[in-house]
Amino acid sequence: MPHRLTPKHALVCCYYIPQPDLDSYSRRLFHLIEFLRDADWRVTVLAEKGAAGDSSATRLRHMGVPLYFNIAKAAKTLVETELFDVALLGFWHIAQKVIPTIRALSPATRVVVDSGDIHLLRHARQIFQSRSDEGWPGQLDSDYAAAMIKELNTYASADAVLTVSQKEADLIADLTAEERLCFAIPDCEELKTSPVSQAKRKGVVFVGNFEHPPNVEALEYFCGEILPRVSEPVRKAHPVQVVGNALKPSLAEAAEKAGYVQAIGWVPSVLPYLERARLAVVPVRHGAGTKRKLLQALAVGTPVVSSTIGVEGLNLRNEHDILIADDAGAFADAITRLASDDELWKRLQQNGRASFAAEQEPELVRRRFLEALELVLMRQQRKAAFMRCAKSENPSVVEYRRIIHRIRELVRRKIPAYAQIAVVSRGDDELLNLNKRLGWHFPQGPNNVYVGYHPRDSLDAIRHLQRLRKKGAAWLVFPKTAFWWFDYYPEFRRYLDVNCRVAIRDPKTCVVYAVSPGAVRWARQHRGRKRPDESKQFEPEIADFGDPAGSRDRGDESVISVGAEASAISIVIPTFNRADLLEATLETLASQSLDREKYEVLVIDDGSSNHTAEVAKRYSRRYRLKYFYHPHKGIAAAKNRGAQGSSYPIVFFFDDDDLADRQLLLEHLQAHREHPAETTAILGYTTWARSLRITEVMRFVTGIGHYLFSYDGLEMGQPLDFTYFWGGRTSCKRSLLQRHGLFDERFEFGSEDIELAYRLSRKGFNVILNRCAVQYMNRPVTFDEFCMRCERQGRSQLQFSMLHDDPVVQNWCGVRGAKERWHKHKPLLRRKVSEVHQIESGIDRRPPAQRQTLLDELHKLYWWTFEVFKLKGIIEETNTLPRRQPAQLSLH
Amino acid sequence: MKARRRIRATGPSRRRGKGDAVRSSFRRRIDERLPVKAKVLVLSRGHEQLIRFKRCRGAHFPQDASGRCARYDPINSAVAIAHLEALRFQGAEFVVLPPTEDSWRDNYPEFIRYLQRRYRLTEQTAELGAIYSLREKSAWRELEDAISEFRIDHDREPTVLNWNGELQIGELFPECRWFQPPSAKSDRLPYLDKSVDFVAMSGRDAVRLKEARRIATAAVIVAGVAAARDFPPSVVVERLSASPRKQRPSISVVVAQGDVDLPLKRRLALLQETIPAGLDHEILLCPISTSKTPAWKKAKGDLIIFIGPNIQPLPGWLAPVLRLFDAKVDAGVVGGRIVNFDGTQNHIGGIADPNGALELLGAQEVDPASPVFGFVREVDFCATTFLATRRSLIAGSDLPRNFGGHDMAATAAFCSNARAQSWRVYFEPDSWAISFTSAPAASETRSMKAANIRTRRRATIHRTRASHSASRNGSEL
Repeated sequence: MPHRLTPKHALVCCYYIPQPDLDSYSRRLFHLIEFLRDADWRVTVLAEKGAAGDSSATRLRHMGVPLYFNIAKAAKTLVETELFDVALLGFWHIAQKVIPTIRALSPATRVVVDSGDIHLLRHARQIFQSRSDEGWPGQLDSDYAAAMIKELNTYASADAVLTVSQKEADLIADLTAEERLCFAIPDCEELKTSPVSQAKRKGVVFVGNFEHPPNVEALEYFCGEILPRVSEPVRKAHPVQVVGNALKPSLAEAAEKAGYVQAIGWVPSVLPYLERARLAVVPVRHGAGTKRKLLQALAVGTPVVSSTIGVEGLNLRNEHDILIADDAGAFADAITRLASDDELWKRLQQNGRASFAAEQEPELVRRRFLEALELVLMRQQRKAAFMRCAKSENPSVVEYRRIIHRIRELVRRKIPAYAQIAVVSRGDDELLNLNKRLGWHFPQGPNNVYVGYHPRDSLDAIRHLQRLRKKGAAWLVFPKTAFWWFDYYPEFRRYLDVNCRVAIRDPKTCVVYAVSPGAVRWARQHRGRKRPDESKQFEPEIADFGDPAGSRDRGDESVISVGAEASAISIVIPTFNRADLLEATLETLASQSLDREKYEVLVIDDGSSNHTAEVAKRYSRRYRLKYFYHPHKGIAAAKNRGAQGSSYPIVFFFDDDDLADRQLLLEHLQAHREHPAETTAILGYTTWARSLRITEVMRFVTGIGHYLFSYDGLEMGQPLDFTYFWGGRTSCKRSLLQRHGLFDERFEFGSEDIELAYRLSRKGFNVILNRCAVQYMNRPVTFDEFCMRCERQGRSQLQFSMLHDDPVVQNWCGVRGAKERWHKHKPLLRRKVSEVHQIESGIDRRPPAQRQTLLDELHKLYWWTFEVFKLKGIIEETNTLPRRQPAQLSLH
Repeated sequence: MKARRRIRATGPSRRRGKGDAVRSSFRRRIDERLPVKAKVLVLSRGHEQLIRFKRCRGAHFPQDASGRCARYDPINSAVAIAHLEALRFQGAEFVVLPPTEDSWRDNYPEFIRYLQRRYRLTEQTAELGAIYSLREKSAWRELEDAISEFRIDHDREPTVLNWNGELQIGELFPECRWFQPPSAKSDRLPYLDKSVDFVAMSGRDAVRLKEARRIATAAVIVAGVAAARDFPPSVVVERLSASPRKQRPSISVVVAQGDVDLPLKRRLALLQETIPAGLDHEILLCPISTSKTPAWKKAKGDLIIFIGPNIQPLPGWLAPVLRLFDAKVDAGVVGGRIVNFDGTQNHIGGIADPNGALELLGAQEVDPASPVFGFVREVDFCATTFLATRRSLIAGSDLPRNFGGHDMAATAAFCSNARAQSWRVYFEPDSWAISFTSAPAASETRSMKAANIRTRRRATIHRTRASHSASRNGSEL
């Protein structure tokens, strides 16, 4: 099975829709998109300005490119829903906006910034060339410095920067101290030599986009200082044509005043003008990048007179390929020579064209561009950029995110699953994302959406709460950001204090009221387990899991560092009758960026009856692979066998239905080097394989229900507690397992990972998230399969809860009250399952207006059924399982 | 373009008074101005009083399948346009934008532009709003046709020099690249000979006309004097043939008549008006009797286009298909977009799983103009009832008699064969057709399931009987 089942996908972000006839940069980006499409890449364009009906948009749509507009609105959705291999960002100021979103939501995407021309260089030259009213030369100021800092930071946070010339590539490489960061991808043109003979060539052509200030200045310089120095007969024989976008009437009028100048402005194609002209002029005095007009003139065989700035970045020699002149007199002389000297004209035409062909032929540029992208894809992402992006965020936003994260933690621990929670909000849906609890905005309008305004007064708020309570709301959360309600609606607060019960009160995070009788009962029942001051209760817990330094201080054992030894990694893959999926997994492990000597794969065949052994044997020829077979014992035993057979200091437990990103192993190793403490494990990032069609149930289990690899609200490098030691996606130090034990082999499916992590957490164990370590789940999930999975999960959770009496474990397992809940829900289970089947089969046929309602209903049913299947597993296991003791296993 | 559909406040207002008088006056004036029994669409929010004419037959726009005022505003102009055309196909003759619905001009600018470009503005007053006759062409139609032909010939949008800056036509045709000369006053233009596609000018000044002909390659647009303020001027398009044209393929359109379809004569008339003049074409009817030779076997065109039962293409559907066949030399089959009566998307084609299951793409999307379905893309099979293919592909294949009908398995099999021969199957986003089937998605899905079963049977057991089975089960003819 091939690793990549779909073509590579690029996101192109730019200001205007790329089009070939507007300006030079637009044309460049258009060419790059063409190259990608020709190489069978999927390309999506996200432009700040434009509309789908524009002529430029039509052209791209016909090339098979979907177009989105408004970067601020569309970027997040796009990056979340699509898997992009590369994001090509046109100009640094666009990149600056988009990079944080990409880094946060799509860590596997490589960010490539196309600089166009280096702005800091152009602006510096422009400022130094300018003169004050008193005639003093301009000087750089703080505005310039601020823009320069942003520009350089943006380049430095990218995975690669494209420049139009090697000179600019070297400049950025010097400034960022990153030799491999920049790639010089020159502009290209596919033009034929002019069919117009030398004898018929007449006139001088000046081409430029007059929205670009250097071109305006160049035209003024040319008409004001150069042309008057050209003799009258030459000017009369070769009048000047000024061609280009946005030529303002005032500028055109001023140019025409010089005599023998015809201001033409925008034309559908500059080609006919270049083809018929005797020569072209490029008298720019500042700017950066390379000048496309010069390339076009050379390509069609029209000799050029240019300033030194005009030929910058191009390998052109004075008097050989082109005439270069930097003062007005010399420039005028060059024009006169070229207009009258046929030999010189012919020589420059031939050499200029040859020089163009050597550097700017489309085929050449295409190859360089695609090779550059391949190189970038082979490389690791720039991780320093993640931190920088996070730091550059508004502190209040960061604080707000922290509050949301803490609320989730508190709610997860203190409020039963599937509770209906109203959250005082201003419409932020993030606040409603409460780990298997259904969140509602308070106040809310129809369809549970935020109503858009605050209650008029306390009475209004009380009425609204009563309405919501009737609708099913059991809890009311006041995030810290809504504490002002207590002062603004004092009667409402009194009403809550009298009629409801405070379940959580944390002045730094939130206050939660139990508002329904059931919730009040729950809060009262769980009161004995709380400390007197709940606000203090959670702080140390969060600090325990959130501060690795703190955790290291707790025990001498945990300060042991094995980071220096983290040079090789063992991948343990337990498998059972999944030979085809395993083959795809092993194939992806064959194409890792890590040297093959630095990793080994251990396939633990847990009693398969198919051709698993043959598959493993086949791959053992390609890299170091050990195959172990034992009769079916369950996942924990298989993992233990793998850990015992491993020979490298890092052990990575990997699933047989996952595909590894090229950088996966390298990322895990590097993260271990960065976090050398023995007690630190690394959690990678998992998403669905791009070849899978994401169904509603798959979307639910990851994005909404958070049953599988849900990373909502988790940030890169964030320390996490033991509940994030997710089997199949985490790696840890082998010495830790040697020292403190292995998986409990009584677990045949599920919870074995969390149980081990719980035991290790007593030794200071924590998990660090590395979003750059990407793997893809390659097996679709159906509703029925997931119900069975939940049932098995329930069984294992009961086992886990019986092994440890710790309230944290009990809370995680959710075993308490399972019997009552099961008896309550059991009679409904069959009907609910059939309802799910009915909705799933018919939802596509429903009219759009009904579909959203049905989806909401379906999600509620998913939630209900998955939890009840867990209960089923718990109850069935209760009837069969004797009381167990914690396992005492070791590697030896 | 709006982000989501707004629920419309429907039903008459309870407050009576000035509003009633205004509506009554509105009805009376419409009755006076429009022909007896003319079918008039009124943009409304459900006020029944607005459409209770004495002489004309009023109807709401937008409306649901039963003719009642739709509960939702169209999500965007594209949906509104498709819905309007569906109603026009069903006989609507006039559309009225009452002054109370002026917000449509802001919310649906492309829809208003579409009306202005295609249909004649018969009346525009402060009391009545604007009345467009859906039976008559707008003054701009000739220009629209010229642009459409240019696209076929040159595979791009034209550039148009608007010589007279007062001529506000750039906004009407934003897909073209409009520009103005540095000075509109001069009788001479600074451009090289034959370097601009179209030149638009007002008045027939001989010197200027000559100058325009000098630089234009494809057409000179001469605008006359408008009959009144807000009304378009008379427009004459003088076609030139200075630029080389592409070889246009000949086409055969195979039309099948369905059970809930428009009368055949009307269908053909509507179809004929969407085919550009000068295009070598023939229209063939799918025979009702299965004993006769299938229509596609008699087709002589380079391209054969199948228009299935209960399907009616929207204006402008053909040029994109021809353009795609021209631009992509590997295009074997090209399908368009099927939309429902209310303008929402029905489907754009589909994908076939390796196990043989067929799945529709973009089925029942509220917004057909969404970027997800807005670009030329490859599909495993294209819209069953609205597809075009090369004759060479048809000639060698064993197609069922009713090919081009609702037999999805047959289309999928045909597309699969084409792909096996290294042809590609494309979806063309700018080619739209209305489906008049009452419950399209449900019937498609049922037929899809049936088709899957048939596909599997055919592959394993009754290979030789496949074509009979498909023709019995799949056809609605």
